[in-house]
Amino acid sequence: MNYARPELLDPLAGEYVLGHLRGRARERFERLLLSDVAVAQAVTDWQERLAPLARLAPPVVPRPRVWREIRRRIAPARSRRRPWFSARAAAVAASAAFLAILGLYLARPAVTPAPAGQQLALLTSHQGTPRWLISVRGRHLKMLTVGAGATPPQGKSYQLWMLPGGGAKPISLGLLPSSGLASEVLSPRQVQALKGARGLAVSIEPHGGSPTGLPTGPVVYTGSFISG
Amino acid sequence: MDGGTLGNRNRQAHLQRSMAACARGEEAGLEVLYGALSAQLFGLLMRILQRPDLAEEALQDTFINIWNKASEYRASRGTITTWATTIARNRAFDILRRERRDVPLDPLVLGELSDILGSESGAQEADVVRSRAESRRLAECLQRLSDRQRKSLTLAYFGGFTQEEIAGKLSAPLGTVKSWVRRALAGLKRCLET
Repeated sequence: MNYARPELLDPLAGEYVLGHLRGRARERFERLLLSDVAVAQAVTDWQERLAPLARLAPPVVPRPRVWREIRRRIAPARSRRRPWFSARAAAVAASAAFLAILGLYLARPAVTPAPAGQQLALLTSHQGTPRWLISVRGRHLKMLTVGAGATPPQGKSYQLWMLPGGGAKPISLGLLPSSGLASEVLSPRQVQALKGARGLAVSIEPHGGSPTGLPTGPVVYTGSFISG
Repeated sequence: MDGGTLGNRNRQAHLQRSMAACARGEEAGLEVLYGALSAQLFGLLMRILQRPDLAEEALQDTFINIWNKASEYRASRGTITTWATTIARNRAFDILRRERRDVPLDPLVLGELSDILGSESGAQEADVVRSRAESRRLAECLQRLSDRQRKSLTLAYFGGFTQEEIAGKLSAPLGTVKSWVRRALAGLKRCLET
């Protein structure tokens, strides 16, 4: 089907937003959604068009305990005094894939914990596919591609950023390799900022890295550190 | 739907800053989003799920999801309110499937809008009034659809029902339901654009 024709694309996008595309039709549509701006726009338009429907329901203030419970559920990242730790990192760490990769990387049995003082993070796509394993020990940063690696779009680079806590701007940690291993020696400022960092993100930047010193392109991979 | 008023733009910018704070792991960001969105989302979840315990569970999961996915949000893919609403609806539908839809259907799910349009309350904040005006316009467009076209749409949007399930509920062949849904979408779009 020719999705470039609005009269064909539009009803499909509407049905997709309603949850009515199923099976292979849905898979095909979702592939296009990721790669075709017109498809993504048609879906966004339908979501916005139908959004006032949701507001037909009169607002109801939930009981205070709901917010208390939400706070409790997001709390582990704070209360355990382990700034590198997050629920997402725990989920990644628990996965067999992570342990297997960790094991390969450290050339030790998969269940051996990381050496003390080493920070590890797995950078994954939004779908959870692992792309790079990042390790930091002292001033040494290593970026190891995982599996097939990831090749940036032509004329672009993947740039690694740490997200410092406390509202500070992202700090570049360098460009990621599309295969194999790359190393960086961090500045004392980078090492200091890493101590309070909340997570890592990878953005698509012009070849050679962001010209502004801050992310300019979309974030395509993310990860969190786990303490060794 | 152009979001043109200054108040609305300020609100969107405020929500986007809060979303960025969530992405950095700052709880204060989530607290702002919760303050701005929870009553509207909870109202919707109560309509869909009809049980306070299930609606509270869905609301909690929605905000945990927002917290975990904050870094994935793209302003180019729609407003934060719409994004959060999509998350809430999907969570509610998951819970409905788990509960085997053991909940009665709300008039809203059945496309019976008159009681809702009649329940306007008194003075409200400007952006609430504006969003109610948008909802009212959409509701008027829905009223212009045939009964079955409207029901097909609301059963899907609020009930999470598949076309097969809607065919069962409305005792109609699947192909007919497909065309009702398509005509409902086209009619709605036409009405909103005029």
